[in-house]
Amino acid sequence: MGALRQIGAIVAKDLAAELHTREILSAMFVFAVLALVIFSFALDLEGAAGRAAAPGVLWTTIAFSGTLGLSRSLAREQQTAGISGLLLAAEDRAVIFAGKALGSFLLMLIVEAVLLPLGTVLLGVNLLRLELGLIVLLGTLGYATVGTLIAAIAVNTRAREVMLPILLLPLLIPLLIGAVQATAGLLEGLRLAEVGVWVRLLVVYDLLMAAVALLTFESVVEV
Amino acid sequence: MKRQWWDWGLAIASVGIFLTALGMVFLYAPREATMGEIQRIFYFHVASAWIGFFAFFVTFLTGVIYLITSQRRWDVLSLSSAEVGLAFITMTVITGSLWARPVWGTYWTWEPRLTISAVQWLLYVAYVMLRTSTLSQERVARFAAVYGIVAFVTVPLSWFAIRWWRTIHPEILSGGEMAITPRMLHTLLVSLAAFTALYVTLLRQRALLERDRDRLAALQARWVAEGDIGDV
Amino acid sequence: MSEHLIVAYVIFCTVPLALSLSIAWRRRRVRRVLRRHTTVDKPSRI
Repeated sequence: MGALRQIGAIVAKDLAAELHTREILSAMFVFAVLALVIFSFALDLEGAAGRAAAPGVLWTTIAFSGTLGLSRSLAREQQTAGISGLLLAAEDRAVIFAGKALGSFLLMLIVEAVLLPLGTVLLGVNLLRLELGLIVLLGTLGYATVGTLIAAIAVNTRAREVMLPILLLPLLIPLLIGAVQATAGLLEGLRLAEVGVWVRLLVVYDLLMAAVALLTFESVVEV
Repeated sequence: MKRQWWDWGLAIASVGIFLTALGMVFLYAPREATMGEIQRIFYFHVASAWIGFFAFFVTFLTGVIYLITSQRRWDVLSLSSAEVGLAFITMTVITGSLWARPVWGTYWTWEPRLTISAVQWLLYVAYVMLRTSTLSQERVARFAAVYGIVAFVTVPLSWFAIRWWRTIHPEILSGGEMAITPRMLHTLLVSLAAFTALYVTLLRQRALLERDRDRLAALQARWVAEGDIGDV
Repeated sequence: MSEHLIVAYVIFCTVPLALSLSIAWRRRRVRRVLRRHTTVDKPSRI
């Protein structure tokens, strides 16, 4: 129970700091809206074209606005030396990892809560469906897990803003394939059971990456 | 001295097997009935892909051992294997697309085996870039070990994702399947041996380079500590 | 004989060759500095 409370404390601290400045959230919002609008212009997304491209556009937007948020939140952590404070306060590195990943997960969900209705309007497809929500949850969970681990590495490198997407995006290939295919299936009117293979892929990805991240995070944050 | 003999022997042996394999590909292996001459790409292409993947497995394994033991030699192996593997996978991707053009009529197709090579290429280019970012050696070693582990876990996940993706959107990829005759099998096996020997040789040379660099760094550190920098 | 096949095998030969030459060249450079520092007497303190 102690560990859960510690995780909760880290998440609460991160969210409180973010809701106070809204620095990362506003950047992610504006970026996501920009991406959607530019995709619509560039690919001429109206009617049938919008419906066909919607899954890809949705997940590309999530992936890129996610890297934006991750790199900002870790850079802030480094500027304020927050991570060394965390390392002193919580003895278990897994707790810190879970807290940071959960924080990123929630931030991304807030952005997606706006992105989905906006996409529904701009792309002309109904993205506000319960089954789709599940896919978005699973995809975002895996994204936040891998993203937190890689951001902790990238933030220590020279040119970290460049290194984060270069390191992160290849690792997300299976996740993005699964999420895009599941979304496309659901938008074509399939039921959740009919895209079960993709849901399983997302679940396996999330579990496997969470296990790897929990085992290796200690080596990443050790000073 | 004994060591050097070993290295020379290894290098000469791998060049020898490589040339033998090359000769077998063009002179011993039969002409394939449906694809014709272009099928001869297959032998080195497959060997390069398999040994490249094996090299990344070595990077993964030595990365795990490094995280447990913190011994520099495992890190050296990890880094050397990734670099050699990247060279092999680069060859695999390029020659795969050279194969795709006459057989499937296009330089690039999201055929699962070709795609997984491209995914591996992206992953390990990122690994090498992470390696070259200036950090203390000990930190970059830990980061690279973690990245090598996560990257290797991504490979099978991507494989299944691409397989299912391609079967859901079926594409007419007729051709590229063939019956293997004994002569073809012999050629493939000798090619595999050639690439294995080449891998071991390159891995060893790359590791020796890293050992020399470590020596130089240690020497320079000692001189700086003693106060005379010399002519470094 | 198809030109794609020739190009492919030229790549199979040049890439490993290029990698081994690059390793040899980098190693030579390091060894040259190493040798200068170990065989010549350490420069005396000024």
